[in-house]
Amino acid sequence: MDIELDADLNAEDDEGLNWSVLSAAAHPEVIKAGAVVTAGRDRYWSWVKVVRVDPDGQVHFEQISAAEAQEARKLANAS
Amino acid sequence: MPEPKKRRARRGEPLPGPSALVLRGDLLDPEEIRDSAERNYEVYGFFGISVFAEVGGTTFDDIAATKLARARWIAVFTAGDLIASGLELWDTGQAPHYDVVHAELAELVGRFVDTPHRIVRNEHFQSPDEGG
Repeated sequence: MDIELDADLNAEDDEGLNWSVLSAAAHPEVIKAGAVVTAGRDRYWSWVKVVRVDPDGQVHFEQISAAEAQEARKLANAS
Repeated sequence: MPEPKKRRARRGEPLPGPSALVLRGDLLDPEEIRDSAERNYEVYGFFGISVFAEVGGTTFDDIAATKLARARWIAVFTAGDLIASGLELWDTGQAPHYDVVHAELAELVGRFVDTPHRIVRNEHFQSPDEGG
């Protein structure tokens, strides 16, 4: 699995969302609110939905299932 | 190293009891842990390793099935052993999240991986490739 956003999935922000930083993304330009990407590391990863990207580059996201990711990407491609 | 940007909220709770289990998803890879602690410094201004503790009625199984559901392996410590290793447990974010903290990055990583722990298979593991 290609990881699009390197992240420690143990890490949570003050709202209980997972987080990483924009500089850890393979393609930072695709990391935007609503984007669905793979995040984590080789042994421990998940499909995630980006909630927001702060001006300082902190990326907040929530883990979603593969089915939810597939549906979200289908909708994005259709629009 | 970049200047820290954000202040981390603390919940102000008492330390977990010494026998409370402290969980971290995945195997303990010192390089990955170092990267995570450095990233935490970059954003919050302290070297921290994210973990989850059995506090407030939250059990090992609760954490394994929710917070760590995508982790095939879980490293299990006790709060007492982490403190005895000269590390601090900060009640950051929302319970049951904590940061294991030390002022020096190398000391944090070394002491953390050298603290007595066991690696267990997550019986609640949900493959990220599957629908659930």
